[in-house]
Amino acid sequence: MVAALLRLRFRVLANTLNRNTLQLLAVIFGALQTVVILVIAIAGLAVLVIYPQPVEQATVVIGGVALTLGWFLIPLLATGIEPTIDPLKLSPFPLSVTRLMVAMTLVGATWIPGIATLIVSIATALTWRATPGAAWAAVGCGVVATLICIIGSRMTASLTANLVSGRRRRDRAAVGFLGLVALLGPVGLAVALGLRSGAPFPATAEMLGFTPFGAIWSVPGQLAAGHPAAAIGSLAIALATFALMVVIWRASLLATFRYRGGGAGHRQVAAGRLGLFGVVPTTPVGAIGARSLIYWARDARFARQLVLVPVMPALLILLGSLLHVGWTAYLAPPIVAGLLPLTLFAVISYDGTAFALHLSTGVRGIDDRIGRAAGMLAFALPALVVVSVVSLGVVGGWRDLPAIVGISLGVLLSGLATVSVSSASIVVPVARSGRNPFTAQAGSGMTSLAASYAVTGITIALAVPELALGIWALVIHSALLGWLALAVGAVWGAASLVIGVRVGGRILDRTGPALLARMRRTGG
Amino acid sequence: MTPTSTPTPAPITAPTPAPALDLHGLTKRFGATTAVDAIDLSVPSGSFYGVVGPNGAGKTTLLSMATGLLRPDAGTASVHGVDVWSDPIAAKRQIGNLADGVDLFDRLTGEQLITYTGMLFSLDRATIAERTRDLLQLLDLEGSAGTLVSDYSAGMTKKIALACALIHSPRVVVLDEPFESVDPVSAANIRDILEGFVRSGGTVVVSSHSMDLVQRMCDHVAIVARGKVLVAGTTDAVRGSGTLEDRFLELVGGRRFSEGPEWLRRS
Repeated sequence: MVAALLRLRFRVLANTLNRNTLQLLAVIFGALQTVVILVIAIAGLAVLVIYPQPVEQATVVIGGVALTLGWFLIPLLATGIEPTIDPLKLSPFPLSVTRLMVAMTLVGATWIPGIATLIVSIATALTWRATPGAAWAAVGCGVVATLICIIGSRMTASLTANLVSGRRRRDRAAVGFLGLVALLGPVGLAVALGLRSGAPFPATAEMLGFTPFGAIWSVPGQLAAGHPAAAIGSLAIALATFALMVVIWRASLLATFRYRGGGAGHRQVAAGRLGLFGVVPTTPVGAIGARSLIYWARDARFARQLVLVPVMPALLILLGSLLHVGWTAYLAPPIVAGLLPLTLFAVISYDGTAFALHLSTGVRGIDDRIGRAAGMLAFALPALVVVSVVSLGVVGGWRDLPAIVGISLGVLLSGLATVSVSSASIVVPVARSGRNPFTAQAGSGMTSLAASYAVTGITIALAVPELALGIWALVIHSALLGWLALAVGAVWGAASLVIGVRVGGRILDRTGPALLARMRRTGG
Repeated sequence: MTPTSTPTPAPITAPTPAPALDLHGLTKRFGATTAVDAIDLSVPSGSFYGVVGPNGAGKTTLLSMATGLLRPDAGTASVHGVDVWSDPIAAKRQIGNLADGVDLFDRLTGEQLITYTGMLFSLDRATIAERTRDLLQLLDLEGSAGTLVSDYSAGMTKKIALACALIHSPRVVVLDEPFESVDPVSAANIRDILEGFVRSGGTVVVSSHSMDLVQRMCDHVAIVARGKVLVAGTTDAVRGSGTLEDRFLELVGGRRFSEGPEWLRRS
């Protein structure tokens, strides 16, 4: 049964790739990139051996915690990162939850991210090669660590799926927040305690070694340092974490089956209350802009991305205080500016077959593009100003505000320009509207990832003028250059957007029916 | 086969020279299968035209190509003389389209969705408001105007999609399976609306599985199977002396006179 599910999954993947050369290229591109990262990581782990033991241990543990956290958090931030088996779709078959869990774990372990994680986890043995016992322990711990990563990501995906499909939105948000605090609490505490001591990194690593995320990574190092008792303690914590996650995941899956079909709860407004539609001009651009904005607020698949706006600066400021540097806060506004438009790189996929309405009403491609861009700018511009002011305010970098706003504005506008073009020709499988937004769609992961890389690359290339000016301004502390960066970011960004919208519109006029046909066939 | 063109039952307005919908050699292939195979079909202005066919006959593909949703591999489609694929905006202003098997923007309320559609046609605010009110009332959706479309039942979803197809006062309405999962009362109301629309000079093209309904409702009918039009003409000419269903089964074939396999029988 498990083997049949695995075969099914690879068949789905092969069929998806067969049909779409672009997607196949994306997978190859993603795989190559993963290989490059792997080679660098393994080389790093091998070279690490020349450093003193505490540094080795700190690097392995902190790196391991970051990797584990990544697995846990990715289901919160991205849709369908893995081509996977949707438990809900399988629920009509007589399949035990245990088998389902085994199958889902194996599916995770047999795709690029899972394989890469396994390789890099086992490669930590290279760091401990001077102590054979620790090296062998590292191999075993690597396997366990990979399982913790995969099962952890399954668990968070399943939990958040249940939360989002729950009844009342406010309750969901509260539970989600509490869950996040519960997850991150121990790590935060360890970091805080570690920072108080004289040698922040090794001390932090030592504390992290006794948290759910870091325990398994610290076992070999503790053996190598000759602390078998500590190693056993960490191992116990890791195995307990593993067991607890399996139990929670199982309970969550069972709950999914119990509550399946539960809608988002009725929402009713009085007749005649048109919301934004009553305010915007009654043109296609006005209509599409208003609908985009409504969807950002009301569609969980978009609303989810808005979490980035507060979380990204918070994380970067935290990281800055961790490293005792201020510059990380400067990264927050441009990163938020880059990530928001990235959500739209295949925006028509989110319309799904409802896009047929735009075709049957004869909306011009350019109006579609302008409307969607306007819908995003309406909230992204104010959000960027707030993020810039807050981030720089925290580290006291007011003087650099023009440069940072200029860079961010440029990145936002050129990002929008890029996605205006990309989304006119790319559709990826996404969760359908109103369905669980965390339901992974087969074959979407690598395409999404690779297309995101491409869009990011083009965005950065387009934003080079303001990036160069802005960074120069920051480096030589020139107010004049900062203001210049702001002006260039606004003017050049706007110009790119105009071009992007025109080109994207022309492409969409041509490709619209083909996009709809593809979405209809992929079970739309 | 029976000749295609038969005189239109005199519409109230003067018949326009160009047919309401004129399809020539429309062809669509999906990989190795030909879903629609060089179909010619002429829908006279002012007719109530039924398109019937078995599952997978190519009805939806044909109507999608006729309304500008799916680009044909070959052939042309025009609405009152305007080519759908070379002048899409002008053509689509004349078409009201209810497509089958597509989602709606269901995070909007029913009223918002109709308004949205009206805005995509650049109608002015007062017109949209007035027509939305009328349509909600006609389709008995007033009570659900402020409910998200995602919370609608299948029948209500069909009705709101129909409202969206009518908001811009089209000349030709193309409805793919409009009665599927619609309750009998609403179906009768929808029929009244469509019949009134045809009496006032509009044209309706409707695809359906229900032979009975098509026979009663439509003055013209085309039977489509395996991507081809088997017969087309006035309903009376097509069905001859029998019912439309008899004629359909005779032409399409595939009727099995069996009681199903042994193991499925309970006695």
